[in-house]
Amino acid sequence: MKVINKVQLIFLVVIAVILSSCSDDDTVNDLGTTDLKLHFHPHVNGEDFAINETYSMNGNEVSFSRVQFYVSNIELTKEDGSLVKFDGNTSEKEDDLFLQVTAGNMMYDLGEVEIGTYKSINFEIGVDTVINSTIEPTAWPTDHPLSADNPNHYYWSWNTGYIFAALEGTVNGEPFTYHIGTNDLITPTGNIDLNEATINGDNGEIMIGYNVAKFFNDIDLSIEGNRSSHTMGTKPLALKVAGNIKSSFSTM
Amino acid sequence: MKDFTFFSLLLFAIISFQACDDEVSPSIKTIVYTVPSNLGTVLPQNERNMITEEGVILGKKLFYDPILSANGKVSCATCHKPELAFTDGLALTTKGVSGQPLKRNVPTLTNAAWIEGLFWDGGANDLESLTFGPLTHEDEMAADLTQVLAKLKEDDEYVSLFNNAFPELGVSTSALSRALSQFERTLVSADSKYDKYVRNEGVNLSEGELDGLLLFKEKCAGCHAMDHFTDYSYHNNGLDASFVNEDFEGIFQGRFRITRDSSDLGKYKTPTLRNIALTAPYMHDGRFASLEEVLEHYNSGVKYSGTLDELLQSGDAIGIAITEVEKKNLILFLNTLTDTNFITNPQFKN
Ligand code: HEC
Ligand code: HEC
Repeated sequence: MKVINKVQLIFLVVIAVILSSCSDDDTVNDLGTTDLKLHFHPHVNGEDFAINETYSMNGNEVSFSRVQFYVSNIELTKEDGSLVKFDGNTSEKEDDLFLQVTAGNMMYDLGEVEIGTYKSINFEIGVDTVINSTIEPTAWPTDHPLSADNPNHYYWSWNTGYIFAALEGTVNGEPFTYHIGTNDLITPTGNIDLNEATINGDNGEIMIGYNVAKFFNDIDLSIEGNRSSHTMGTKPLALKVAGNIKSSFSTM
Repeated sequence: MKDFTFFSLLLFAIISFQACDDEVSPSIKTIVYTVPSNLGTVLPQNERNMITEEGVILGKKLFYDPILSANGKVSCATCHKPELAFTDGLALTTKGVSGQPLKRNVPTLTNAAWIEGLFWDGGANDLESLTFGPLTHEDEMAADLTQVLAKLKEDDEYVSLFNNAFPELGVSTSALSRALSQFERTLVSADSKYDKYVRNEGVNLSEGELDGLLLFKEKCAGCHAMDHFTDYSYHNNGLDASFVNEDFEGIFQGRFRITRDSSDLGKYKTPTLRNIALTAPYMHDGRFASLEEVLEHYNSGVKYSGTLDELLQSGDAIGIAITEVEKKNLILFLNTLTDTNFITNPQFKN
């Protein structure tokens, strides 16, 4: 009979799902999953950005030799309000996905996500405070973003902890250095609107721009003391730069 | 039982690793050190970097090898010399690659495994992440880690030592720092005359030494807690009256540099006094050349400031009153903390 056939079919499907889900434990919606990449795109008011190029910003001639930041606790919000985390499906922070974003590298793998519509993304700029200064950088596999072997590994040995964000370069020929870090300065971005992005087999990328021109908002760079912060001792300036980095993000 | 050497005290049990796909390969064995009773019983270790025989062999070789420095002339042992209990005898050393004086005195590595806050201000949480400081600092070893790794990879002996000790990591900066840290944790000193006395190993102290011991317990052990001779905490022992110099991220401001809490101004980590007769000059900037000068500081040189430790104040008086006879006996006692087995131990030498 028809009804019994349907029940049998559901049974078969359920068993098939159980059997095939040894690798990943997520319940999968009917549309399936796809690989997602996060594209971090540096720009100067919409213009392409490159390391060691000189740009006019708020009346200053600025060139960057280093732009980099760590990213933790990435969360996507789906159309229906549900959250997608990248925590390796465990409660151990060690299993989370971490990124180290550098201006020279724009594409980052987030792994598999469900096909569907995504409303927003949020993350923290910095290394999760449970991990920062408690798990030493030599404890990771060498290809892990937090490893001491990461070519752009940035860390304070004299005050244990990652340099969450680093901006270095020159302004009007004078050097500047901002090293932002310590657990107090981990900066959540808040929800960044994705304009109902559809993620599927044809589009497996979310692009987020960060406007390098905003990094120095409200900072008078003609004052020498404003051209350097290692966070410790110059926390107000470090907080300002961290806030500026945060507000530089937008979907592109 | 009389001629106990340090190594016979250092019993070790070997625990085999359960073979597990992504764990350390089964041939690598971690070593569990048992340390003398008056130091606790187990050696503190980093659970993510447990000591192995292979790791220590590699770490020791690296510690003495100037290949790690930019000019090929400076090793860790240039400043941390075993015969001086891993110090270098200078107030502010100029033995780094640049020849420029460092801002602080080289501390002993005696019983480094127990130190929770490393460096004079306790800013470094673990040996593993500290290593990159001296390795890359322009006035210490000024190393470019990429170049160092390239050199190590050209050396067949190093390649096999790294692969034996850290099969997952191979020749890498992570493995380099792990190996150095493992070696540093083995630098246990607990075989001085005082240790043998206190553990009833058939050694007696002289009358003067015993007198010094009593004085020490009364006047010094509040901070230099026995038997580690440090409480591993931070105190202002009255070296300076003000801490206004903010240069170099606050390197002259003590623990404040790390916590940015004004109650930590001028506080420094209590150093262990084990092997103290070998590690002159004294204090974080090496300002005192001898133990006599140190005692005279506590007796008459202590300077008042808002963070001066309470143990150095009683009513209107500051400092610790010490008579000339007491000074002599205190120094006799401090000399019993010298551990000759520690500085001659071939396990710690190249
Ligand atoms: C040029 C001299 C120099 C060299 C070379 C050097 N160090 Fe040091 N080391 C110092 C000084 C000075 C300090 C104290 C710094 C401070 O507290 O700010 C120190 C502190 C330390 C400490 C902290 C000890 C404590 O009591 O907190 C450790 C551990 C250490 N060094 C290990 C090493 C290792 C490992 C190497 C080799 C990779 C090395 N050092 C190379 C000068 C040196
Ligand atoms: C209030 C805590 C305190 C008391 C009490 C104290 N010390 Fe200290 N001691 C320290 C601290 C902290 C340092 C490191 C200070 C610095 O370098 O800035 C130190 C340094 C030393 C040093 C130099 C160690 C080195 O490696 O450079 C010696 C020696 C010493 N103390 C001996 C004594 C003696 C002997 C007494 C008793 C008469 C004593 N101390 C009492 C806290 C104390």
